[in-house]
Amino acid sequence: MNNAREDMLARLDAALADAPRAPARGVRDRDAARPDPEALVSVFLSGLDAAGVGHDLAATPKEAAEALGRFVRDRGVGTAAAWDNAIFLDALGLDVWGVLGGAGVRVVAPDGSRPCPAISGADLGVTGAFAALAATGTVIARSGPGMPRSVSIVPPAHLALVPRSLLVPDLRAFLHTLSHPLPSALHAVTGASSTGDIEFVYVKGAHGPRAVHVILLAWR
Amino acid sequence: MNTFRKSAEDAAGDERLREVMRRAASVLRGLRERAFPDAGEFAVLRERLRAARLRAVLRLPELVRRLEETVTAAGGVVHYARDAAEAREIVVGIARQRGARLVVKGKSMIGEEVGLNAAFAAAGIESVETDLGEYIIQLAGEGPSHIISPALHKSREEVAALFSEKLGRTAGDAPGLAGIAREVLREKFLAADMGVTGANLAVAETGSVVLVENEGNIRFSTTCPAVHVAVMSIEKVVETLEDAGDVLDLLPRSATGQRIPVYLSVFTGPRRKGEADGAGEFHLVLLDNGRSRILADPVMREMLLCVRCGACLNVCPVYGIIGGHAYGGVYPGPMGAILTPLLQPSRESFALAQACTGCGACREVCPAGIDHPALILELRRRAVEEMGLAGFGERLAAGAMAAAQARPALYRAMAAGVRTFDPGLRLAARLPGLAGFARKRALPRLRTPFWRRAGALARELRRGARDE
Repeated sequence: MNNAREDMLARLDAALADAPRAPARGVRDRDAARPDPEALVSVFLSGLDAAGVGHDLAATPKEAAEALGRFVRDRGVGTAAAWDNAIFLDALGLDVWGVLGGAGVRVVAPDGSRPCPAISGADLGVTGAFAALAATGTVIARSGPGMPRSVSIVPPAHLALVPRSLLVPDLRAFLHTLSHPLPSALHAVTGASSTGDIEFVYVKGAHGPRAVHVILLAWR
Repeated sequence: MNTFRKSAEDAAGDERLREVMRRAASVLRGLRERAFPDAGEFAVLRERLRAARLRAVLRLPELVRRLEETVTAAGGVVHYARDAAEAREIVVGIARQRGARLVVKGKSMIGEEVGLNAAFAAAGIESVETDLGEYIIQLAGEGPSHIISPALHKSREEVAALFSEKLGRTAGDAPGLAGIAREVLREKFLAADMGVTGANLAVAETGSVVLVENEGNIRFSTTCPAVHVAVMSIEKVVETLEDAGDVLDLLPRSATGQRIPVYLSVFTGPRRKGEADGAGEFHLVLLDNGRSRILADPVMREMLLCVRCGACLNVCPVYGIIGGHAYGGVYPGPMGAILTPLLQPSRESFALAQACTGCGACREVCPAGIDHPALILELRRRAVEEMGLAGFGERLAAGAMAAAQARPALYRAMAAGVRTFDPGLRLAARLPGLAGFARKRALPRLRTPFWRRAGALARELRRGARDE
């Protein structure tokens, strides 16, 4: 094993003995176009439309709670997997578990050495966000305590609560905002899971959610 | 006749396959064309991607060492595999050590290259492909025919029959079939002990592995099982997140016409303290298997810039007619015609250099700016001058043309493909194998581009096949 390492690195070193220099990194004008926040919201909403993601624009915590309640009632959600309520209270100022409970929804969370089966019966996964990409209607979730990865992939629907302040123009801008160390997982989600593997017929709902919905929190 | 020529001729004579390939290539080309309405923008992004890849490939030893440090610092384990056998040993070894009985796999060309499924089977471990296309070909006992869309050669009816035979249930349409796969594979995800994925790229400065997908199978494979093993060929590292951005700006657009895939995931080490899910162990297997030899080759080094988007397959007139399996290896199309002989040099693999009309369509769409025809030309030169395959070029071209002329419609299709990108046959005339054909043959005059003639051409091909 160690031999393989030494061997491979030695071969790589030798391989480039005569190589030309790598091209220098160009200086990029990163902050040139600071988009205005209003424009970013409208780009994001069109991005969500293009990605087939339903959305509500909530101006107040009350409106957000109403939108969430409406969504679970309309979909007939009985059980939801969700991030810890402490995260929602802290990052969004919303009592998400309270709203879900008030709508008669039972809340479950992944657990134990086989975390996924614990939420495999849930009708919905509710998450916050780490960032959102306006251009593509993308929601980015990160892993961390109280923010299980399975919540946005195992249930058949995913609802993300996204503070407006987390909007960035696009992937490039997002990558630029990252600082070390990165979380163990970052998941950029653009629409429902899909496949085109059989005769290129677009099928919505491959292994992950068949529907994604965003509630944009305009006051955060 | 060599194996490649035989399989290429058989494939070209398979009317059903030609029809499937024609449709597939036209869909994929259409997706990509819509993704790049602005040729100027593509040119700029291509320059950036190429520079990011050059910065990586020309400093590979440094970046690999850095990647090992950062992955290790994040709590991951880095393994080095000199060849396919070592890679199989490492991955199966991890599974054995953890007592894994069931492994879920994300689609990985490296997994195909080293033969992971066979190795798992030999060890008595069940490994299940979870990308729908890859699952279909695993059930069928076949290899992939396209690096992005592995079951592209299968019709819906064939998939339906396959599901009926192997799973005991089936459906008449794509959504129904995908729904069955979803149910069957969901059970596997929830019960799996280990997930194995490839890696679209790794970032040296952060110790991260980046994976793109639409189905969510990679997310399941990395979220639910206790162990995640990513297998990656050694050149796929880039230095910084900004360089990763330069690759990701073009990779999905070139592959499927998507500005961004449904899921773009960045993994940095295993699950951390206090986290409820995600693999608790993260392994990164770095595979050489001939790459260091390619790196030492000042001309062929270029091929290590490839990001595996598959765009060159979709525009290649030869791939469009013979399909992926005729290439005989894991990698088909223009990139495969170069990579396969470089990875496994042999008389047989060098015969793939004949799978080129010199039209240059691949070079036009390559997001890394790889000049495939030039590299293939160099492979032909080496076949003749260094491997002593005398008359290689002329014989190859003659063979390809003979095969095509035996089927006039096919000949016209190939000619149309060449004409689309090289109307005056200037490029073809410069290639040794094709110089004769460009000089001697009066190719049909075509005013309309190939893609606009696709429908008429398909009808012509069907008529041609009946005439034979």
